[in-house]
Amino acid sequence: MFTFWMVALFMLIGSLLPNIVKWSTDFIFKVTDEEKRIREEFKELRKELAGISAVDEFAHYARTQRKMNKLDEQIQALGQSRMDDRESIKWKFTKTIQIINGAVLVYLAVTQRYEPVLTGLSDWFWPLNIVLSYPTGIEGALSIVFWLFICNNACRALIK
Amino acid sequence: MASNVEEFVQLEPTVKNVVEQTSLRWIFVGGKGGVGKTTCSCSLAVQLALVRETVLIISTDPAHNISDAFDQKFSKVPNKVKGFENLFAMEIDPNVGFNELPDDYFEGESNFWRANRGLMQEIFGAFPGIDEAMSYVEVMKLVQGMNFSVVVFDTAPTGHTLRLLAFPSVVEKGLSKLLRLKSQIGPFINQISGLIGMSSINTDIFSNRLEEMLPIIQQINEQFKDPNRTTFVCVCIAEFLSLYETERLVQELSKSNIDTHNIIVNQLLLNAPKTSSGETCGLCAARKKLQAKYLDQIADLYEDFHVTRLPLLDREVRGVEQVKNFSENLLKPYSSK
Repeated sequence: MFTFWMVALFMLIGSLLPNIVKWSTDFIFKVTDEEKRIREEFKELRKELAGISAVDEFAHYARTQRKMNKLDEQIQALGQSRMDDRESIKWKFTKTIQIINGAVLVYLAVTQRYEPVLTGLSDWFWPLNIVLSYPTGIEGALSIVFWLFICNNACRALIK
Repeated sequence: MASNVEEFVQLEPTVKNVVEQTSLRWIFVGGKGGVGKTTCSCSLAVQLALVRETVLIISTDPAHNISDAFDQKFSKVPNKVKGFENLFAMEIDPNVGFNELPDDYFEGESNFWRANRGLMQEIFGAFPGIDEAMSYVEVMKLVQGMNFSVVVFDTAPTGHTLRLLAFPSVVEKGLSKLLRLKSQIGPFINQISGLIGMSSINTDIFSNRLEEMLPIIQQINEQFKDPNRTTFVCVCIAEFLSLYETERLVQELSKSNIDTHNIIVNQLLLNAPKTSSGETCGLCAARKKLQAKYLDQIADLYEDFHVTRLPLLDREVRGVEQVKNFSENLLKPYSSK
């Protein structure tokens, strides 16, 4: 029964991985206070700009526009660097978990290949039960290989 | 020493700073249509010819206004301007594509290229701007080879100017990528063409040209971003839209790191004329007031620029003599006497 649940759990983690990673990195890489401040300033300037008549006070209008352009550049730069950092961490995290996951499942598959994950299936799945019990050689058993296969498809279907 | 924050030193209202800066090699004169770019660029070239060794004025405007301004036909190669010893002018049409280049340009190349010029033209047409860009580079090569002390560019009124100025950095990146590709794909293409039995396409010719272009482009790029070597003179008129465009131009130039610190305001009504009965012309007075408003805005916004004011005359500035006279206003603020 241990194998049964372990395999199921790891397969589930593997399928849910993108969501887990996204959620955790969202949490870690929040918008910084400085960025918030700059964005607020930008909004203020935009309001100000709307109130200036370009025709009558062009100099004032142009100066405000210049300030806005500078702030906009800063926002872009900060956002970009945050995005870059986040993508790189996301990628590393994903790959690590996938490797660990894969390693654990392979280990289990290899060491437990003669152990049945479940028994007592002869009546339910005839004639498949012969195939399903393949590596174990025990009648009515579900081998880990096929359990992996089933979990994989089940998790994929669940995520969709 | 007590610092007087209130004291505002206005920069000299002439282009003397440009004429006197002897390290300058490339001067661009630009501004949205109809402001008097050609008149200004020709005047500037005339003044530069008085102090510099050799001056070349190039027009990239397909409308060929320099020929009109100096009343002399100019071509794709530098010709001396009548009445000057060291002033040369040249008009290039950046839209001239491969198929309009004279036959001898292709001398020495395989028949494949000549026969397929039409195809080549189409291929180039697929990359917007590369046509223009390549002839631009050919011009730069020619110009650099001729060693003029200073080159004045009378730019086209469209957005092409900025594109061309920003072009070197874009092309540098693009070309180096293309060249890497070429070294990877070139041998492959040669093999294939050998298999099929075609006479070798000789991609080398094209890629050699590319390889030649790259160092020139890099050099140009470096020079254009150096404020000691290159500057941009913005020409405008005292009207809202022109002002708006000038501001846009100035911002774009700063973004591309191209120096600009001169603005010429042209077509100004500096003295409201009197009618025959001795009264001031009402229309002119009204226009003068309107222009004064924008002049104030310009003075306010561009306090770190040299703002030169040029008058609207009662006749067109055409012909060498008139251009020479008009060019005096660039160095001496105008006053009608």
